[in-house]
Amino acid sequence: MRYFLLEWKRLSKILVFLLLIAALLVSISLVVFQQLSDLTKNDRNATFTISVVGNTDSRLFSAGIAALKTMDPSRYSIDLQLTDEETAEAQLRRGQISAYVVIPKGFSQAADRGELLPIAYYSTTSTIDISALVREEMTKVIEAVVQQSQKGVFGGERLVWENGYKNLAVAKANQLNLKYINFIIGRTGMYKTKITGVSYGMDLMQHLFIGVSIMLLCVLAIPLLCLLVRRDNSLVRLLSANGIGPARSALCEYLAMLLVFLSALFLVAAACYGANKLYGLAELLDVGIDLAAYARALIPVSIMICAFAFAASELSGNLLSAVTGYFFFSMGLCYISGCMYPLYALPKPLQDAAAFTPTGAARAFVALSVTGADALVPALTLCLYVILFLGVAVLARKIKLSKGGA
Amino acid sequence: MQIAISDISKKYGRKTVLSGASFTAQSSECVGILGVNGSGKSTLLSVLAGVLKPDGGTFLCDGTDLFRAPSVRSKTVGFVPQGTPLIEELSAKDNLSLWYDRESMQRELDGGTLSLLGIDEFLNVRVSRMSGGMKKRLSIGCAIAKKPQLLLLDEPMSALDLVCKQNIKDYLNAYKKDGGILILVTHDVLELELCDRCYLLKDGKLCPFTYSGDTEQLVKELL
Repeated sequence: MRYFLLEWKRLSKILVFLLLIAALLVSISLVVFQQLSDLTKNDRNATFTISVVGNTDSRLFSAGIAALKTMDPSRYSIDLQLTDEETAEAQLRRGQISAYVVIPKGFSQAADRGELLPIAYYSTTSTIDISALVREEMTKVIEAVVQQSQKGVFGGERLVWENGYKNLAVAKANQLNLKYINFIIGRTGMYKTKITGVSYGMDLMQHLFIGVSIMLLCVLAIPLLCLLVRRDNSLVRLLSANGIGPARSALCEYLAMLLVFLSALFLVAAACYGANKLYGLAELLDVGIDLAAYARALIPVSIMICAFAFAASELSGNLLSAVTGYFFFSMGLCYISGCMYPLYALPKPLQDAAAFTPTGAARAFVALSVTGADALVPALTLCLYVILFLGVAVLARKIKLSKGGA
Repeated sequence: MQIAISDISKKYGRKTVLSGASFTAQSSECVGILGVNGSGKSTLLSVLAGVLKPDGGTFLCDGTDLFRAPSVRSKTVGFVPQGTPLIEELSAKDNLSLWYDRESMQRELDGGTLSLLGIDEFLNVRVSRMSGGMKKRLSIGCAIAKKPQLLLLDEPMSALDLVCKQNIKDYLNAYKKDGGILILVTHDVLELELCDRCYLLKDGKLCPFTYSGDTEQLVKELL
């Protein structure tokens, strides 16, 4: 306990420095994300290409699409194209289209009967503006279909009337109309939005926000790592001679490091919370994630990153190799685990493998935690990495001690 | 008090570092161990301090095998390893607090061994700002917190100026006079003046050696 307290006191001496670095990193990130947010807003005003796939063979439906493409004012903001689902999905992944809608089988026939079959809407973004625009357009298509049907209903009524079945014609036409009115009133239930996102149901901004956060946490551990690298093992030897073995001394140092790291994060979070209250930071950023859940999810990630940095300090022979080795290795991990870019460009096996790297598991854990999904697998992966890194650190310390000499 | 170290052996993989190292010492005695670099001097001290496990041998202290009684060993044996076994970013006082409780530290600073070592003069100085002599005195101060009867020192006066060396020599002589046993690993012939008996560590074995002041002869013996 005494050793833990002394290590905490020692590492706390750089808390101010750590906070300065954290403030710098957070400020840079805020500026970058604010710029990205503005770019996204600009994108929302651009033309969107949307593919329509599925049961689009109906004459009325094709006519409706054609009308939208040629006559409707929305043609300046939305480009509709008919294609198959496989092509549309590939185009969406490559960013060639903004979204695609799947018209279910028997949609037109069901619409003629006054029944609703939901249209599936696929997008990589949860941005409300795009969704709203597309939903509106889809509704217009349906209205076009319904209008055609209405003409049919009244045409039929006139035909029946002219042929002497006056009472029957009115009753049946009213019946049909009622069905269509109900159908039109209830048209808001005609779509359901499915957001595939770029990863874990998150859009690009959210993906980058989480990925960059993990990268910054890796960088933030470097000052503590510098203090943990030992010039010689004399103190560890003396502790060992006095009954504080390598495992205990390593654990004391790790826990002290973690405490200082979390203290720094807590202070940064408190400062961000204050800034948010004063200046509406969250609105400025417009990332659209639950920031409280995000902050909570960073705690297990910090535990893993500290264990990683601690293992690096124990494995390295000197300060330079510790810092450069840790920096390049952690950044490499961030890169292959998709912290800097969406992973969908990679083959599926690589995408799956990336989720099991330390930073990949961290990214998955934060993403699933903020979306409220089940984060058990990445949480267990993080736990395994903490045990692994601490085990490696203790083993390295034991090996150093067992080599004798100074 | 009497200690008897017999047949200590230690291997690093296939390399034998200690093979049947034996010697005895009693109260108020200083035993010097000399050897070339890599001969196993620090390994021997690490084994005696309990940092390394021996492959064989016994370490008897008044009939108790300290290899089998780690709790007794940690009270009986003080260890000053080579290098700086201190937390560089903290003050002397903080470093001492790792080994002393508040009362005993104050007692030792008020005319006890810590004041004898002159640590009270730089109690609030950060270790990273201390001279080599201050660091060494503080290391000894940390090692003797449990008032051990046997003190193991690994090159205690290397890279120190003459004044510092004399300070430490004075303290070690006082420790001897109080009935303590010193085991000293050294390269420095000046440190041999402290020793009542010397051993050369060669090929893993300890051979008795009397230093007559002839350095050339010592070099021949070492080789």
